[in-house]
Amino acid sequence: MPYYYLYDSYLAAPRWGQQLIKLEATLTDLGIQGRVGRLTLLKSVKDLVEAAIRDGADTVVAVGNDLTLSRVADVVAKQPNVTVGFIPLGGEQQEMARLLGIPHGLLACHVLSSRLTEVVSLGKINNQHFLRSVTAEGQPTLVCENEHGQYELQLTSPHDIKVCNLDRWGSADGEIADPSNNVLEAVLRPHSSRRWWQRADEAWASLIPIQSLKLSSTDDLPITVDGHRVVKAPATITLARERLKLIVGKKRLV
Amino acid sequence: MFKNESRQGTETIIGPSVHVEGDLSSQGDIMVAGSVTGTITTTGSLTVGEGASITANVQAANAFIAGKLKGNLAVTERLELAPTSHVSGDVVTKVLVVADGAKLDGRCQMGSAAVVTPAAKASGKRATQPVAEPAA
Repeated sequence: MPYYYLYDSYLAAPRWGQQLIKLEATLTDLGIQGRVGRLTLLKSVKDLVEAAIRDGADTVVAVGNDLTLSRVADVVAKQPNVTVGFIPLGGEQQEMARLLGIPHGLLACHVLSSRLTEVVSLGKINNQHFLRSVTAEGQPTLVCENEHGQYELQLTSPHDIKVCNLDRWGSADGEIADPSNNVLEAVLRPHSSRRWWQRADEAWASLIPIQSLKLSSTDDLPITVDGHRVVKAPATITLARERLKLIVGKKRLV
Repeated sequence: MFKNESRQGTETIIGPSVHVEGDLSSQGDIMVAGSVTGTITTTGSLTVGEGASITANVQAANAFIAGKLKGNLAVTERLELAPTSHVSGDVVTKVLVVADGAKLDGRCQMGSAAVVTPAAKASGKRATQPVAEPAA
């Protein structure tokens, strides 16, 4: 099973040099070495990953952080026979490593070699796939659809809107959306959180399972996809038909 | 953010600042603290909070109403009306619990022989006769 390792652009900095050398040595010792590609300004994830798959790679490993994994997932979504792995490197934006039970650095190589896989759903916003969640802020009109019917949600005040596929609903220790339940979870939290004079239940968030959500707004409404891409409303968020095969750790939370 | 003890197993939560218009359906429990216009159908339990307002026909396995509901209510198992509840419409249920202070304005069919009717449009008008059709 040929492996392809995609290094994020921030790993080109000199301080990562020694760690990458040790990483490659560990991969060789485990017998899972493969070709390496590095993201630069001139080389996009799409170009590198698609070329690797054409050359026979059936496992693409994102080496970096949550954004790296999200970008790889968007490209690999259209390739049903390709498995995605992840080696977290760097302290920031490593929530996916926690959710998938993958330790940082060299220990992740052992998770990769054990090859425990999970098939997870993907979300889709317009023509792009997302792995974690989509967020927006404001008072848009939302039309929800699921297998039972359709209804419109009208927000009486500005809300923080988060549509989760594989992400926490709210705070760092909040509940985690289930990526295998064939729905996306839309969490709508009133923008102005509880004031000191309000009872706790006056600041309730809404939780709605959806298969499709149309977001539209008369004002400018930027929608952030997986924490890095931005699209503008109107947008249709759906559960994608494609699913992703991910290599996960035993201590995963999903 | 969520009341953990009350939302365990709750699939859908409509918060106080959200209004739903249309057909809200679920296979799990629904908790409404905001407002809903249209129909609500669930094979689980429906909880209507004290400040909630529903103008819809409702079908549920169990229901706990503490707010306002205008429409027909068809519950296959247990319907509980809290002291702050106000239901305007016909009610069909197997078991009915009415707390002191609850208001019910409409006809009520109870017991194991009572059957759940299919949801009609939420016009606020009373059905002239109960329609005998088995629950889905």
